[in-house]
Amino acid sequence: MSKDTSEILKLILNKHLKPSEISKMYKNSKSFDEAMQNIKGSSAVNDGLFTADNCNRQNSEERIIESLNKKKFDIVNIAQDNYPYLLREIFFAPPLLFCKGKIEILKSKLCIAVVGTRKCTKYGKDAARFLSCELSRLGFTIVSGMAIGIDKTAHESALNENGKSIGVLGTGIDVIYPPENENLFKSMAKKGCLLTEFFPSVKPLKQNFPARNRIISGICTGVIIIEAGEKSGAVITAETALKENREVFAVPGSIFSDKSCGCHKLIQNGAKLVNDVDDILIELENYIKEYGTKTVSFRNKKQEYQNKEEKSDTFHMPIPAEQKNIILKVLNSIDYIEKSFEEIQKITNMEKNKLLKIISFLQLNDYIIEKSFNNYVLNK
Amino acid sequence: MFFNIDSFSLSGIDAVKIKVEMNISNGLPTFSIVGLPDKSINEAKERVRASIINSGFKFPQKKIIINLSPADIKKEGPYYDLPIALCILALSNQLRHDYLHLSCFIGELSLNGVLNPVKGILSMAEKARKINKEYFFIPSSNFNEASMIKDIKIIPCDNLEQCVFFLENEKKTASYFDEMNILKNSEGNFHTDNTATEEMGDFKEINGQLRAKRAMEIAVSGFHNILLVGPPGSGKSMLAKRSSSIIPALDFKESIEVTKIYSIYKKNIKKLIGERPFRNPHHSVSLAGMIGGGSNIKPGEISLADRGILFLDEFSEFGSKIIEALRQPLEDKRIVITRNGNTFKLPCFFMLIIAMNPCYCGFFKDKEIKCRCSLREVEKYWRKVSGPMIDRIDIQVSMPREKTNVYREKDIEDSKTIRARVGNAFEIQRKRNNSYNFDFNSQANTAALNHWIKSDSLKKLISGYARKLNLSARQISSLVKVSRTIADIEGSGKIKEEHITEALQYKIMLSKTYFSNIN
Repeated sequence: MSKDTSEILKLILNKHLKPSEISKMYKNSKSFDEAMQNIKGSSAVNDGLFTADNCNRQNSEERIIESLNKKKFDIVNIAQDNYPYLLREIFFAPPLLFCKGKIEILKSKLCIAVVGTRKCTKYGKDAARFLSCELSRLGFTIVSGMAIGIDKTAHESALNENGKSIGVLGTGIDVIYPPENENLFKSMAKKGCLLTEFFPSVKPLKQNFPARNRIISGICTGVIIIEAGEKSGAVITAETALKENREVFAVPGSIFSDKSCGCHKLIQNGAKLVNDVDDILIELENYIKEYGTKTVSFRNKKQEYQNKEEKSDTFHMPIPAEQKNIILKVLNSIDYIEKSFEEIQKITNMEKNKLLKIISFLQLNDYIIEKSFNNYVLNK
Repeated sequence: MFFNIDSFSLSGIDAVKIKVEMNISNGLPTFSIVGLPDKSINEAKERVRASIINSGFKFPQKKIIINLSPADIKKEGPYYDLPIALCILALSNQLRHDYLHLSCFIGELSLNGVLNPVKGILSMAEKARKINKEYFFIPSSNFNEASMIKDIKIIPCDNLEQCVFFLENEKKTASYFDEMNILKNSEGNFHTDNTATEEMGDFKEINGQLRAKRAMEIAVSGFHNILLVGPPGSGKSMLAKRSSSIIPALDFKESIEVTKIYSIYKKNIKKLIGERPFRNPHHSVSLAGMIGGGSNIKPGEISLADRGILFLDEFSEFGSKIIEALRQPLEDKRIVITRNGNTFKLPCFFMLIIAMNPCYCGFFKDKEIKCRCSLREVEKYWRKVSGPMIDRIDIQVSMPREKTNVYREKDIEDSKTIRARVGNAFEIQRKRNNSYNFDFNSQANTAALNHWIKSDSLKKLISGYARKLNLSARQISSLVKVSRTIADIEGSGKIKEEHITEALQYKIMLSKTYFSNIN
């Protein structure tokens, strides 16, 4: 642990100083030492009235040092090189970051946040996967909030592409929340980087999550909102992003979907509509020029991501020769518009038992799919 | 002075012989009952004393001890009033006991000596015949139920006095029995009950839903469990309730088993139960209500649905404990209940019909109305039934909302036609499965399954599709069972490819594809 870190720790834990106070002082001074002297001289130090709101009372300096020595996590302070350079500029920059995983990822210059609602639709998942995969292929670091839904998809896609990903937590570094994301936490701690401003063993409290959102937008050059309801946390992330002068992108959705109305409102208020990866790259041109990335030549790959299913076993029965005609007759009666079993029966004029067997055969061999209950369409 | 009389107690649905032993000695006049009696037996003292006196007999002023043997079985219910009273009369020389040892007795006494009906008479009559008794004296209101058992003389008595009269005049007893029997037969009460059919409704009232109706026919034919999934108003309950209109009646052996269960459930059963039971418990049912139990063990819904149908509507609303408790009875076809150190076996071979919505809002995968649930919510909803429970359900079928309800379709099959087909399938199964020691295809064992699927091409077909749909070993064997039933309905001796393809139709719904295509 560096000397600076331990000094900040002492100030927060022993003197009950607000972390935001420290970073404010730091920004106003020329060097870290000067800041420290200013802090010690200021009135805030000795009154002892502040209880650091992001710190659990069980924490003590010794315990944190012990955990550090066991390599349970790392601490990066605001004066260090690998503190995210953009985060240092925001208004209430956290003086300490608790990290887990590859710390060097924090240094990456091209970060972009992919955030959205937890209650996402399949469309939202597809969009999140598409954008995070393509952007991480281009060298972007994907930042998100380690929640379920869009966040999870974003992290997973980035890791699948062997790209970089930062997960910002709203809890202590050793708390896994939500619990169903345990596997994601493990793989992020291995391949990506987890970070939080909250002290270890801070439980998930609802007031902490908006604070986390400000770090997400703080790290990044731009924020992409995939799907957001009217009062979604993703909208808060977009607001803080605007305050800190970051780019805001929003993916449009169906006007009938209440999961997209937050995005649409953002677009109305001037967020950039994302139709393709190019839309993001153009806005971030300056950054890309400065920090260099792979050449931006993008081809349209949306098809790949749409309705992507897990690969299922491709077992196909050959069409039995004696039934070929009758099967073709049924197949011809089905097209891309949903047709019910009864409608098909009327067209083909077959006995229901026989028709059922053929429909079953066609369905099992992926010629047709049951799109809604009892309604069949041809498989694309 | 010592004397004893045979009577019965119930263990599960079967009766156990109980010896009512009595000793009368000189001493301070007391009256005590030993041999693990419950409260209602202990109270017999007062009833017996009053009814003996009110029937015009004398109650001996001596020390009376009664033992119910075997002494290690807990006895419940007011069954022993009559045997105790007769013991006292015999020991105090107010009754000739020439053929008391040929008879057995059961009955609850009123204070004025009238005999009141008791539960479980059918099992007791059966047991009485088994232990070669000649006469069985019972309360006359229980006569209909007990006389379903032949080869034993059932003597119905109105009161204690009449009972004593018969015991003293054996000749009159025999003629009285014949008389009662002739009276009985002329009333025609032994015929099984067929009146319920009209209340069940008819399949021809269901418009459309061809697939679901076909699935129901297959399920009933082979006694397979079935899951109906559909939005509200699609006719799930309607179809399920009509299932009993296409199921053939019980045969005699089954009928006795079912009647025995109902006999311990309620008093005074008039006829042998002929229709298969249809039970439709509400989802607020308790665990004991579903499985059976209580301090006086009572059969639960699963046993009351024995040899018939158990319909669980709004399945997702049932408590998860109740759902999990169903798993074992579904496999074993019987339930073993242990309470207070007593163990009871009750049969519960039922066909399970489950009806539920596809998600919380009910419109998942509906063509017109948009589902408001997220994928995660749908998965959470299904977690309750998925896994082990779904594995035990042979047939899964979706029921969409029907649009054409206003126009009645012509020539819809009625229940009678379908019932005839199902009856045929029953016959075929019974004949074939006899050699394997089971009745219905759904009970098939491994030996039978191996016998049914012999050709390599069929095996290849099944294993290929099973991999594709991710079917478990249990699901694969249930697939073969359903295929066998379809073949039976169509009168085919061997399972063909087309039978397997159709059977697979009833597995597709909840395979991987179910949760895709959302929104």
